[in-house]
Amino acid sequence: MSADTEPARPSAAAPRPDLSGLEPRPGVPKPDPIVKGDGIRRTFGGLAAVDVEHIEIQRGVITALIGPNGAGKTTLFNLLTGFDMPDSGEWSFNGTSLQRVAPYKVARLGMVRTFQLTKVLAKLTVIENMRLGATGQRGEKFWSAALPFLWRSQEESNTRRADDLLARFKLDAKREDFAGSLSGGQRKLLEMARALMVDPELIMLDEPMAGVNPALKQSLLGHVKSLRDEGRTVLFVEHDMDMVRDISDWVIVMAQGQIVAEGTPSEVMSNPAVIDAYLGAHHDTDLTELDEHELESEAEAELDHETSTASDEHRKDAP
Amino acid sequence: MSATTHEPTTAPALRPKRTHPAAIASAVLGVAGLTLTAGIASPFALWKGKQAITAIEADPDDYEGRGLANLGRVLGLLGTVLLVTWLVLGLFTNVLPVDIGQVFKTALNQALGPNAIVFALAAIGLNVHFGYTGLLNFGQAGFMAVGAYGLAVSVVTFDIGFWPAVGISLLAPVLLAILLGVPTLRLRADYLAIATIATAEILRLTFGSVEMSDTLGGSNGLTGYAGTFQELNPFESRLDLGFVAFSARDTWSVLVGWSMVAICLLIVWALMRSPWGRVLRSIREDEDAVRSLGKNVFAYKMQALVLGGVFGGLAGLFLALKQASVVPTDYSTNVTFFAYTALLIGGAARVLGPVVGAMIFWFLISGLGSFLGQATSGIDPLVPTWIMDNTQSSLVRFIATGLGLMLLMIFRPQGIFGDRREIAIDER
Ligand SMILES: Nc1ncnc2c1ncn2[C@@H]1O[C@H](COP(=O)(O)OP(=O)(O)OP(=O)(O)O)[C@@H](O)[C@H]1O
Ligand SMILES: [Mg+2]
Repeated sequence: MSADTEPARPSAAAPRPDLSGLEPRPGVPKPDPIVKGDGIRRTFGGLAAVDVEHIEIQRGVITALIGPNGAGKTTLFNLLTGFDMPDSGEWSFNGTSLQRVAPYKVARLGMVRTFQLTKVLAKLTVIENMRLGATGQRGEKFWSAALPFLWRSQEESNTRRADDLLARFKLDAKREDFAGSLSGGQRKLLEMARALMVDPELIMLDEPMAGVNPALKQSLLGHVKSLRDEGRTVLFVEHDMDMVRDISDWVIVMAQGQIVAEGTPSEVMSNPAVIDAYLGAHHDTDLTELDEHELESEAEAELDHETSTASDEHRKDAP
Repeated sequence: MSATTHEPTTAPALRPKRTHPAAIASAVLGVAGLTLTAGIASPFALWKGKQAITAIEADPDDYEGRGLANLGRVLGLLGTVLLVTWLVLGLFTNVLPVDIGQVFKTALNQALGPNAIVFALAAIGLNVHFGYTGLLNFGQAGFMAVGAYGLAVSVVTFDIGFWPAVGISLLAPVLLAILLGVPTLRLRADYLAIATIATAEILRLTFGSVEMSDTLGGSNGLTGYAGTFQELNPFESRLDLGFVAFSARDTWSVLVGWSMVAICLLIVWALMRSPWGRVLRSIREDEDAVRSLGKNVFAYKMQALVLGGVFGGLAGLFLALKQASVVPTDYSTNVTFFAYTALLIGGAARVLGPVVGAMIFWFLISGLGSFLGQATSGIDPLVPTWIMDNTQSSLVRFIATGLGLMLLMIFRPQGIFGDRREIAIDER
């Protein structure tokens, strides 16, 4: 039943690994994982916010992490990137163990995340926000900071890169504005663009589309896909099922801290466990006993509902 | 004037009317002008009153408070008339027992003199800590103390030469910063505030303690270490430029002091326009965002704490040199708060802010002190004794300064040099 595919080695040129043959079950091993985690557990008081037995993120593809509110997605992001400490568990990035590794070191290794509640640097201009993202800056060292001739050329090339990204994210008109004056959606865009300044191998986006208008959303989807085509790995949290269906190669579903399902978008959307997670129903019933058709139609209905409420939320301004 | 001119609104005002803030401000300023601030606040009361009336007339559905604004204007007018009378009488006649020219000269002397330099240096340090990095250091007096005692103790007690002692005086604040930073900089911002204020007090008490008075001089402090500094003084006579005058000794101190300030400003300017300074400002805005971009926030905070601490140490070193004695009471927590006052007046996170702030602070403190001192002395003082007597007047100037700082925070929270747009962001 399980079909292990040939280990793919993605690069900018290589074709993207095909995950469709993979067995759709929680914690399934991937042909070429960039992140591998085991027994990651984080409790707040009595509540197990995250309790993940095994997780693997495939390199070179777009993986979506979905689940109802409070499922533990953001907490898992925080744990993986060192912003929070787990009660137990171990995980690695590119084979390097990341236990008790400081967040800034995680970022330097090439694993960069954005925040659900955006963290723009309000009293810096948009372009300064972007420049901050560049790594290995000579001018950021205390002793060379006061000697501009040591870092000016590097600063200029960083600025060019920043301007390219700003244009891509339609923020070039806001270049000299204080980031604090941006709208909620613009902040999301700035944060994503800034994370790209780090040139990450794995970029982790926490609800990147929340509050972004539908027209721009379409072009952003294109950008996210182009990240994958550049050879980057993308892991994103999103409630917008359209986006999940549209761009993700693989979907991981969390509920109450655990991974309850995995699979390609179509597999996941017809998975009874997913509907269960979203509905919170049938807790005491064995899934196999239920009429499959009934479940499937229920699933469709719930997911459609989920989609429409999510988009309502994000398209408040649109007619 | 009439409601007919006011433009039609799309929705009728259903909200309750509120008193226009400028009306309140005008009334407060009017009262302050006639009491504590000796007329200085009165013209502002007039100005705010007019602003309030205009605003209320433009939007009578939303605002009220015409009565308050009018009160402010009347009081303001009275105060302004009094102020002008005083100034004219004081400057051009001998009718008043107050010599306004003398008041200005005293104030200017202090604004350009050694005291302002001490606070300018201390505030430059706080600007690096608080203004740029967002670190709450409430123990700048402690950094000053180790700078001053680093010099004095090395020369007097351990008898090492003057120049090596200066080196120790520069090194001591570095060590103090590391000592304070290692345990607290990983924690929330408030821990640094608590640790610094406590450490500064511990240092002051230790330097003044009886048990260690053989080494540290006890409450009498230490003297006799500044010989080399005084010997280097090229000035032989008093300097009198008309508007300011310094003794030969002070002239030398002022020259050295302002040069130190200039060098510090140059360093701050060069660093803060660099990517390094950008990281500090980003840490002030949001540490976690900076961490997520791969910057070692702890290391940057530590560098900022050390740099600002060294500026604080320089303030102490200069204080020790200019008055040729170190006494523990010079390093009380007040000093830290006065330095903060100077920083806020001038504008935090601006290169020149702390220096201009320190000058204005000393101008006001000594100008008011001189004015009130003269106004309350003599057989028939200008201010009757039932309002305040001569001993009270030296306290009133601090009250007035406090009031002034409050008004500044209300009307110009960004300080003199600040950028209004930056403040507006916080209001969103
Ligand atoms: N700092 C905290 N202290 C206490 N409980 C927390 C904390 N952070 C998260 N939790 C709890 O952990 C659970 C998971 O939260 P998390 O933010 O990871 O959810 P999420 O999946 O990101 O949800 P959403 O889709 O709404 O963003 C929630 O029940 C939440 O209340
Ligand atoms: Mg979340």
